[in-house]
Amino acid sequence: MVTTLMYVDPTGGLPPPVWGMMLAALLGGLAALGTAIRLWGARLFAALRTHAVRFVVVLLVTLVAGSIMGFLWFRRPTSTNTGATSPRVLVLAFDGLDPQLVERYLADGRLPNFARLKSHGLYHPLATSEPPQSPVAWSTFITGEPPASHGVFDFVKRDPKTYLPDLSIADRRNMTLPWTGTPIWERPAVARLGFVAHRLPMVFPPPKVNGRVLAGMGVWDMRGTEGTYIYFTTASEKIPGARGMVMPLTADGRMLRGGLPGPYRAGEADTLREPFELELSPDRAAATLRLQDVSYPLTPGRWSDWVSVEFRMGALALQKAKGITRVLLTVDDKNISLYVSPLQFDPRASMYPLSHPRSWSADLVDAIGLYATRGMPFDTQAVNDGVLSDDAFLTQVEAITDESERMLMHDLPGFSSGVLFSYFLGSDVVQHMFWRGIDPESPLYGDAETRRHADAIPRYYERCDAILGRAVAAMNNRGAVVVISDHGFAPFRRSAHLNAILRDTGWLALKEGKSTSGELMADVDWSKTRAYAVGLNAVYLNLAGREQHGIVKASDAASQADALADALEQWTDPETNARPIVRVHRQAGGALAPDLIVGYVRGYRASWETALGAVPEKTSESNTKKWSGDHCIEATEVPGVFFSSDKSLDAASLANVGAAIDHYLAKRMTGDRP
Amino acid sequence: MNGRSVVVGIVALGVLGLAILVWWMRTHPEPLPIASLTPAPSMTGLATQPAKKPNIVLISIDAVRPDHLSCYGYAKPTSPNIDRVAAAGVLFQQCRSQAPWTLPSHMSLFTSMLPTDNGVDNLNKVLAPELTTLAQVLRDEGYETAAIVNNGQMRAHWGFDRGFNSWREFEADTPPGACDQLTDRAMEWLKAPSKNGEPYFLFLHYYDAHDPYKSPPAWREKFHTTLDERGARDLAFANRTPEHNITDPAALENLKSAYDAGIAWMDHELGRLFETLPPDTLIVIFSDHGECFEEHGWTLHGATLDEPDIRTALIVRPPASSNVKPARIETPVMLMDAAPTVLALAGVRSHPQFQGVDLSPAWRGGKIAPRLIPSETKAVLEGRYLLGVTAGGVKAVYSLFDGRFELRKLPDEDRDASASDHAAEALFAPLRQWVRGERFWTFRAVGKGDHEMVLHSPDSPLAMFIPAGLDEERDNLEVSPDGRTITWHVYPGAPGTPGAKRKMLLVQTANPDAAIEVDYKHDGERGLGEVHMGDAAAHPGALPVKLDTTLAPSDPLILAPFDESRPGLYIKRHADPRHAARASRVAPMDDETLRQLRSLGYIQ
Ligand SMILES: [Zn+2]
Repeated sequence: MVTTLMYVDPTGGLPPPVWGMMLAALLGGLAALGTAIRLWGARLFAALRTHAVRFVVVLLVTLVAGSIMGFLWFRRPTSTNTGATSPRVLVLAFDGLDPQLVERYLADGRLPNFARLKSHGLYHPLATSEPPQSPVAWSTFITGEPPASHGVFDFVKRDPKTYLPDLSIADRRNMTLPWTGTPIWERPAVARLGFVAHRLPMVFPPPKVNGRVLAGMGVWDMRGTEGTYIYFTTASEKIPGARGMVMPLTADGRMLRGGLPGPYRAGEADTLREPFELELSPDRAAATLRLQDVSYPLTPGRWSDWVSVEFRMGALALQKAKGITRVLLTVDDKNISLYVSPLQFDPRASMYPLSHPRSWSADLVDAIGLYATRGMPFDTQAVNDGVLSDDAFLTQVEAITDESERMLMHDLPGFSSGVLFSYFLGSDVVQHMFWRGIDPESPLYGDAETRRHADAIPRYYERCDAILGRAVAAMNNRGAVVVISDHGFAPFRRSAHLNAILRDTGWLALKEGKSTSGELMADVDWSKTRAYAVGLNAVYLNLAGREQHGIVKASDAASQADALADALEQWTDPETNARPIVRVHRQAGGALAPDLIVGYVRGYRASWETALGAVPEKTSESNTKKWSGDHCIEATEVPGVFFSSDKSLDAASLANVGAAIDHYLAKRMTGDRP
Repeated sequence: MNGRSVVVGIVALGVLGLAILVWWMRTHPEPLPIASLTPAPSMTGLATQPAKKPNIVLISIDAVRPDHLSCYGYAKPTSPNIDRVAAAGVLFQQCRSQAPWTLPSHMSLFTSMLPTDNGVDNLNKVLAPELTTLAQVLRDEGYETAAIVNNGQMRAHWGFDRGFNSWREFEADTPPGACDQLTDRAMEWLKAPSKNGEPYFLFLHYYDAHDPYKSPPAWREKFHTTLDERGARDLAFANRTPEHNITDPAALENLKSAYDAGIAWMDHELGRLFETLPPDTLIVIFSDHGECFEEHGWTLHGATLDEPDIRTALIVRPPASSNVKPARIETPVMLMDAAPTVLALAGVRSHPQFQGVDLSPAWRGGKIAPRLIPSETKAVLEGRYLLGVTAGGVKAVYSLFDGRFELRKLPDEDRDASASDHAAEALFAPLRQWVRGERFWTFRAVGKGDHEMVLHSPDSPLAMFIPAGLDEERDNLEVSPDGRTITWHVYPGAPGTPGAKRKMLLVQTANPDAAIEVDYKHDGERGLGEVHMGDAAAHPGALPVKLDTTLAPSDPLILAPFDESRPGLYIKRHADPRHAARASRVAPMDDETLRQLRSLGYIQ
């Protein structure tokens, strides 16, 4: 059992000055007694003799009363809600919460708790990082520095020696943090008062902090990816372009069988499978999943409870890898399918540390139940690929939001000082997937499924508002409440194939006889290429001495970068006659930094193909995917939000939030109240 | 004024004092509430968890075979001080190491993983960053961690320093690495006030029982040996392999006595350390492997999985406050169990990576479930590649270079042991599974004359190379300092003729599927027809030939390595596609590794 008492200082004790005060009080009492004896000694002792019984009774009552008072007093700092006397700041981080929408829903009266926070404290849009991508922005929040300093420039980075892209949200090769700098938890006041964070992005593997941290964005799944779903189906048709694993479900009457794929590392044989059985009820309205001697009841169309699986590996199968997932059964006239959400590390026995201290990820299960450990635990790919419905996706968002809220409400009572950071990614993914419901210009706006969930975004904002309300109530006016988002949101109607634009403007050349290239720059002719794009906003010069086959001389780099920036800003979408690129920024920061960051107008974004270095035929196209909202555009177009319950805690930009919090705490630590 | 008013006055004063105190505390927020966020220790699954985490001292007594310690029944008084610790704690009668040499054995203990699984089964490989060591787990739990070691094969280079706040290496076989100075340093560290009230984990690596069996003259006299370190080394190395034996019993006794003198000296110095350790310290003493004295034809250690090589000492002395009754445990255990046991005694949740088990149930009236106890050696110097498992009083060993399975009855390792097909299969099946998970190349030179092969791995450094049958006088193996090129020069002799010897080379690249380039000359001539590739024995179109995964794989389970008699070079790529290929972590060789490899004679 975990109780709030577990956060009580186990070494206990009062600071030395308080002991001094108590000693002084005791000495004062003795002195008073001494004086009384000297002045009225004889009468006192006579009185004591005559009233001995009464004296003893009064003495006992005093002792008992004193003990009770003392007990109550010393319990105070450990009791819930009312006890904390130390400064504290609760940070609620709603990824992607957008100021325009917040203001609209505030005006509509849909966000009463945000409205109260705004009227008692302050609210304004919050300048974000350039580019406004979550890994970049949260690294800026953590370090208080721009990308040139912390070294995270884009979701995707590239190795200049191979031109190959890699994710920048965790350094799995070296198992080190992906950014550099002094993090918020090492700021003086925060470090002294403590730091607790739930699902903090960009901290995998979890760093040592004075407090606790559970890693969020950056934790991979059991297959070493950001999330590979597994879709078992009796259907024989292929799912074109599916990003997950589509695997056979073999039917034998009402009994179906499959093999769950286990951990895997790139370049190694992918052979580990755990067999499972699925038995349908005769009316096909229910089923039982049997996996490793455990039976799980399933209902078609509904997510299962957590399913546990243990893979055995190694020379003598002595290595164990424990995972958890949820599955969703679909039964129709033709086919039966079992959707398996990406396998996540079991927080009770993860091979990799998911938290600091390591055992906290397990203790948290005892406190709030099992929870998703994958850094980005939402199955957006499966929705895009059409194997997961909007309904199922929203149910998943709801469940994971519940987990975060349970973590928050579990830790709030014991939160006595410092910073408690609670992170919600649901706001980001719901806007990515359901912008089509609030954007009349979206090609999917009129779609029946879209209409059914047209209010998914405002409803999630209301969910955020409800969380805020409960958290504020639990804070009980002691300390500050800050709400931040790392960026806002915009429609994503058209994709720009940046590498195709570079090709057509003469910056990128393809191999002889080729007019397009697949992912990873497969058919790029480096000997004639001056610039290339990898990632969602980044463009790199093919720089001699840095890139493996670089041709742009270092002395020409600045003028070439300027010329390219001009060319991109001038580029016109031939289909719409719009100018999609509003501003191109020069980027500093060493060999891994892009040379340019491309800022798109609202409505545009780099294409998925661009992110992985492909060069398609066309330079742009309409986005018809469910992924219909985005923010990887010009940073000033998509600021985040900032709310604070205390006007003295304010920050103009995401980079300043950490310093502002530390300053607020530092001032109160010394008792200097404004 | 009567007595009642005096009493009321005193009470009023008291209340006033308390009121002042309350007021003062309200207006002065706690200045140092750092620990207010410290979570309670885990409450799960650890019913007997001590209230306070104990200080831990883990002591490696390198190369000490347990039957040369008095507490394990040795007739000579080699270990009065270790005996005292054992008498107060738990002694494991049957502990086996996962490898009979220092590097893989210690790494296996610290990661609680089989060497094959943690990847450090060989000098070339280092610990992958995603793996966790005992020291890391303890440090994460707030332990102040320190190590004082001999650098023979305990070096930061391989990843041993991981998790230690303080890591100090001393030169083996020199005065700073000897037991007297090691104990001094340990006692200095224990006295130093740097631990901030945190519990500590101190790892000490004593090397004095290791060859060359060096000890001060007084100790040599006491154990009646005439061998100094030079004499002991010469005698042991000259008779290292079964081809050369110490036939004079007195000479063998003399060598054993030199070994015993080293143990006794080290024990004496350990005694000084034990005296300073408070009774509430958790002490764990282990040896990483044993030492052979011609029991099966070998001296020293590392080349076999025989009992003298892999039986080790393991003694756990729990903190006095845990009131553990002294015990001797007969249940077979292994060194991989040490880390989970230490964590359990420290009240720390075990790590999912750990393959060993917590042994504390053994002395708490519980049971340790019967298991396979695995051991392995991939011995570069001796040209041996052995995998073994022990269970139910029987040991099975697979020797890759001989293509042979053996069943041995314990404890005397009777080679003619027989077992039911079923029982034998229970041991052989895991060995087959084990070797089939490996990927490597083999090269065999057959026929009289001089065979020279140059192997180059352009894309991936070499992770392992083991030459079998290398003749020190005539044959030669050289590795380039960048670890990517091997020159192998051998004289196998015509099959069946006197003096003919099987010459085989096993090579593993860090990326096991990387391509390699091979050039070959027989008596100085390149002959395409003399190079036989794969099971089909195809010939290359040219030399040097580039080989990659397009060469059809052969079974990694080699059962008949030398059935060809036609002269030439036989090349095979061994891989089983049903098993995941494991990439090895190979660090660029640092100067110290180069020095060690040079000392082994591989790098000119
Ligand atoms: Zn050793």
